[in-house]
Amino acid sequence: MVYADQAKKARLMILPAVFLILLFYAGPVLLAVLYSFTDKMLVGLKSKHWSFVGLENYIVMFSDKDFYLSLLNTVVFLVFSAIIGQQVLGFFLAQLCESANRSIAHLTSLIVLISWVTPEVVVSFIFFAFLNPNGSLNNFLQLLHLKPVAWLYDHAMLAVIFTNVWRGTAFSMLMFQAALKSVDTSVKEAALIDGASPGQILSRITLPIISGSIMTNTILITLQTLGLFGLIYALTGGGPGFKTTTLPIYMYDKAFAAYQIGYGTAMAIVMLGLGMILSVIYVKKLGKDF
Amino acid sequence: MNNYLKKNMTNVVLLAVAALFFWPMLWLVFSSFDADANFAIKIPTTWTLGNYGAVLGKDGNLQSFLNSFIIASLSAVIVTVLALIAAYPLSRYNLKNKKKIMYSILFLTGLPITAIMVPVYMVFFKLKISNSLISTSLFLAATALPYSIWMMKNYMDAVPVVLEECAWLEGAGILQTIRYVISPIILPGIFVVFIFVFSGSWGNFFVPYILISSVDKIPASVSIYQFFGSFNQVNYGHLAAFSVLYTLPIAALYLVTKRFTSSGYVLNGAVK
Amino acid sequence: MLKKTIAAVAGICLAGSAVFAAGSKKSGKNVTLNVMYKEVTGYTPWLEQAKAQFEAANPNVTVKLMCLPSTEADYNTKTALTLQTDNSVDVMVTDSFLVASLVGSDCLAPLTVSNWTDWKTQYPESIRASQTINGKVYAIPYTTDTRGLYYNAKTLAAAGIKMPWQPKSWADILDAVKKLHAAGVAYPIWMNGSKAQGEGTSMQTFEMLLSGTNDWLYENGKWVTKSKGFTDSLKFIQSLKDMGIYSNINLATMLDANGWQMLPEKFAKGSDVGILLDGVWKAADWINALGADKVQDVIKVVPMPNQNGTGFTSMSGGWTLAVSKLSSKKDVALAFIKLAVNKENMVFFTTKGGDMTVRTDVGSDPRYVQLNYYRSAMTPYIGWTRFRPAVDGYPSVSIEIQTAVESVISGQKTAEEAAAVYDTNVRKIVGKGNYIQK
Repeated sequence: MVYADQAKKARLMILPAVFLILLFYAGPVLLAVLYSFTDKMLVGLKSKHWSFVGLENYIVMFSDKDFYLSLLNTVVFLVFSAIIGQQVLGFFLAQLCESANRSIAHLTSLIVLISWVTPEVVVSFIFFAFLNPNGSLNNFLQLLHLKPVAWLYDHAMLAVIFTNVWRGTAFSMLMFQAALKSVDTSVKEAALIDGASPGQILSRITLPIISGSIMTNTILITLQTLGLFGLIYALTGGGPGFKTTTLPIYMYDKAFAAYQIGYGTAMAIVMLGLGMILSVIYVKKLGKDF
Repeated sequence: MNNYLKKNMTNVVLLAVAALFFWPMLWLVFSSFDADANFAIKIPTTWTLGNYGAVLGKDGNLQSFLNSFIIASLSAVIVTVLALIAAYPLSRYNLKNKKKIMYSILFLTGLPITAIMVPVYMVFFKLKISNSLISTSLFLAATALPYSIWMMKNYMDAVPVVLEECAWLEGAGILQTIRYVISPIILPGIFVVFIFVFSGSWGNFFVPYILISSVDKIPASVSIYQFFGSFNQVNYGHLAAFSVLYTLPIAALYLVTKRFTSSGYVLNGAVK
Repeated sequence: MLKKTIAAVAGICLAGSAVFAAGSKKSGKNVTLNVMYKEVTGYTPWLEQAKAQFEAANPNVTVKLMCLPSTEADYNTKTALTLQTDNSVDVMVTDSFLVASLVGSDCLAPLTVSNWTDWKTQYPESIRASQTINGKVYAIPYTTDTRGLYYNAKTLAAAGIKMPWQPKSWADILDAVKKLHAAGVAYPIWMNGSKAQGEGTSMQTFEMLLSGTNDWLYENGKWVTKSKGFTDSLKFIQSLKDMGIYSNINLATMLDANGWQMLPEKFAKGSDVGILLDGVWKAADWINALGADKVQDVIKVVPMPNQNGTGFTSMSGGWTLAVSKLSSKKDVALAFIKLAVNKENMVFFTTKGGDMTVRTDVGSDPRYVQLNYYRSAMTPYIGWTRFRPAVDGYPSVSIEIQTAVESVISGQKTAEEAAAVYDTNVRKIVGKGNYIQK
């Protein structure tokens, strides 16, 4: 398919990106891996005179009950806010936009997208006010003669899931809007004429055609959400207690609040591993090849 | 008849969703004009521009917005260009270690940046490149690259090779092909990547906080913390005004580039 | 259109780079002293004044002030990283609590105070001792704080409590709480109690209790992981929970990291809060809310009593000015510090913010005394105050304290259960040979 020397030149085109990644990213990552085998602290004697402790950080981690709790919180948060929440809502909106009035579709997309580009700290701030005992949501409930709820305290996980759905749906929506455009309308029309219900069109025609996009989207938002830190931390600090402490927050607590750099980076490496495992599972399961 | 109802139902639902999404934002907008803001959405009894005045007038705030802009645009431009040309061979050729490269790229995106900030600080300091807007931008670009290459490759995969083959027959080189044939088609994707990196860098607090120490170089994502740091009462009106100003450039960027992203894929026309 | 957009973006980027490059031109003087601090009310005017004075007295020196906005936790991270590697920062505003750890990692320069009269005459013994490590002084405190019991006299009187309220033991406090609860007060006593409130929970709540018992966190070079005093302190908190004085929503507000923002409304102006266990800096809020002339009739402050009537206690933290070990201008740095903390500048500082002074001469200066009644009233608490164990490992132990308090006040664990968890976890954290159980 190609001329040989063009092919050679093409392979070189990866180099600038690889170079930048290696220089600025891979280096520190390797250093982080190194630290994970030490007892380095952020302050104190062990910040300069640390020593290798082998797998001790990892052993402590895997016997730490709180580690598994944060893992569970992470999975719950990931599944409900991203894999289900953002994707389903994003797909739903993309579908609706296809057949809706042009202006309304544009307006809705615009508003949903603005919530995506809003900086994380502002999003946390908005929802901190919105879900506050004296905030808008409770004011609305009181208008309906319902009792106000301490969302960020009694239903903290629900609150952060809700916030993340608000924040991230746009990405899935964009992805599916583009994917749906590649579904040939003539195929759908033919099916309609043959008597297929909208539900059948969705499951038998639309979804299979865009399955590639679904998988790509799932991988991307999984990786994005796994590492999500700022949003949850600013909103609940991981609390109350441990209820919304996901892995990134637990890691931050250990590394920067308790100053245990060695232990914190070990946890980060484990998170990296988790991302790897999930990616491999997705790719294998949905059979996509590179 | 059924179609009419259905079409209206769709519109109503979309409007309802739009309203729900807009609702929390409403508080931010109202509070920024309220001399007496608190947590509730309320029509300000005293409309004021004072909050904006205080934020814009304070020493250093304007500079921090400029710094944010520099960091965000630099990293976004670098990523978009590098990801574009890196995605091409990954999409078109059977490279020897393709699977390994793709997997490595994918895996790197799973690492939270907070985790490596201490090593990054150490490395940057040893290389004497810390406290610089440029090195901070390069770092943000490097960390956004894996994800962006992946996204870009997926957009490219959807473009049939036949178009490039036509171009080669006419004697076009690879870079020309990318520029004149592929880019116009995946332009929406390119802009998604650009906005993604831009807004990521714009909103990132921890990276510039750790890597920058000069007060005249800190971006707005750091200086917004002037409202959170002390024991005195937080002025919600000021904070809201700052937040609106902080969000506007990104929203504007999205609006400006919208015309390039809304056309979707014009693939059908191109093939014909 | 696309080309124009790209051109515009590129053009703005270049223009921006030019602006920032121009801004960082060197000043051309001989010595630049870099002072890093966190943005807090009052700091910038104070340091600007010190800078002006120092530059006037030393024409070959330029003082560059580096102010970084952030939360306190992030600032401590920045402090740790900066002092380890950055040799361009000379003077660093440092949390007194971090000083011992920083000395442990050899990040601070020892300061010569032997020829500085003020140090011996104007700084109380407890303050001087808190910054002396292995016989050397590594940081100069410029502010400290004490903690006590604020109460709303009107609310307490309405609940049938005899005025003036002067609790002499924990039982007296619980008694008042009972009466306030019976009178329908929403928060008979308000205190920090969650992990999200961080050091506020450890210091303002738990250590105020523990320091009033016969046991402490750290004794004779070892961590005390199990003691009667520890469990008793948690039992005090549990009795608050058991009395059912907080509704769910109220408890949530009280434990929220930003819940304190409700206090001017609920405590000073309103009658929702009876007693508040907190620090001296809060007084500025009451003065703001009620006005300097009326506030003393409503809000009063008394010292925190020991558990069994044996006296009073308090906890102190504070901030210091320290010199980086990596600085190449340590003498200039120390000279700047001495100027910044002299009597006049400290009076100026305390008029700009609500911080308590450590200097005896400032403490008795009429400008200081008249400005803030509560601050003057709480300054004598320095006499019986305690400091946190300035040892490696305290940050991790503190998190365990916060976890214990939160689990008890929210009803998830009993005092004994939480104490047992603390015991297990801290023994793991500090390691064999570093702890004792009583």
